[in-house]
Amino acid sequence: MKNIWIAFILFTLMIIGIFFSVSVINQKCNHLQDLNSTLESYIIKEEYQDAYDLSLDYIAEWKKDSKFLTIFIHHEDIDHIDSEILKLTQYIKIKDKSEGLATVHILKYVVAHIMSHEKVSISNIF
Amino acid sequence: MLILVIRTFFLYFAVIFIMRMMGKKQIGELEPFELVIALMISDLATFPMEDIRIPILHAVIPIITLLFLQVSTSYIELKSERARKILTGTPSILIKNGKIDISELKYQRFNINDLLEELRLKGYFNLSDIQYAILETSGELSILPKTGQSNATKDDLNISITQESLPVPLIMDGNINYKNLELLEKDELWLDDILKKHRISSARNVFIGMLDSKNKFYYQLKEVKGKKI
Repeated sequence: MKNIWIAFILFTLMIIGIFFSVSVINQKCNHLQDLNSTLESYIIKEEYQDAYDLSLDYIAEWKKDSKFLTIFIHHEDIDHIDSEILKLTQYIKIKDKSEGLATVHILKYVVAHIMSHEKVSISNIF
Repeated sequence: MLILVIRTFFLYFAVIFIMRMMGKKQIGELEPFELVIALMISDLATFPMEDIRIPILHAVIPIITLLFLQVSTSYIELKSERARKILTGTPSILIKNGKIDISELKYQRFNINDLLEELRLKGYFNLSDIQYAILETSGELSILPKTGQSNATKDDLNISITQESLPVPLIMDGNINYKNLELLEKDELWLDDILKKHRISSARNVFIGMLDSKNKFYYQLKEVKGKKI
């Protein structure tokens, strides 16, 4: 009987933890998507100085958040964002609009991919 | 991550279903759901161990889910006979009243050679010696021999015996086990008396000292540098 209760409590705590972590992931990802959209609009408007400053802030923020997110997210996705964001700063620095926009687009896709992984859907289950 | 829980639920029941379909022969000594847990946990633990890109939580979540499922399944099986029938199955009688049930043998995909092999392993070389053979849900075969073929017991021979009890260790590596002494409702003085009777100066010299199932004191002394004390 004791084992049943321990298993049940452990499972309940785990489910609560999962809901908490999913909401944290969504919150962080939504924030990243906002940054991506702002970066995209700066690049489209060719405001490279603002875009560069923001990309540096992005890196700093991502470094901080990614440490926590590694607990829940596949490390490959994190490595992907790491490399894309580093590329982006350099594209903005040399004012390469097409590469910059393409990289922001990839970042948007990867972040959306992380969020979609947490959704309960038929495609995710099967 | 919730996906991991749902997928684990789905896979757990899917693999149990497959195992049940595969029949009792495949199972060995475990119940179907126990085998599923053993197979799944071993795999779940190895992947994140060798691939550091996988967060450890991705293994821990399914393992906890499996623990929950295993405990719940065994609890439900304890409470409901119907669940027991669905998840574990029912024993199958392969030999009934000394006659092989061929249709049951076919249903269990158990060929005659398998049956004879199992019987031989149990020490029965003649089919005619068997009254009942039951294929248990764990895949083991239990046998009831014909009355004339079963071993004679002490009751059959009218031999009077006293019931043996569990052996109780009293001294282990020189240390007296006071808990076991208490269990026997004895004290250290009683143990000292026994040691004196066996010409042992102190409990510290005893490697193992126990009351065996016939309530006799069994002991072995410690060895120092290859010599007994």
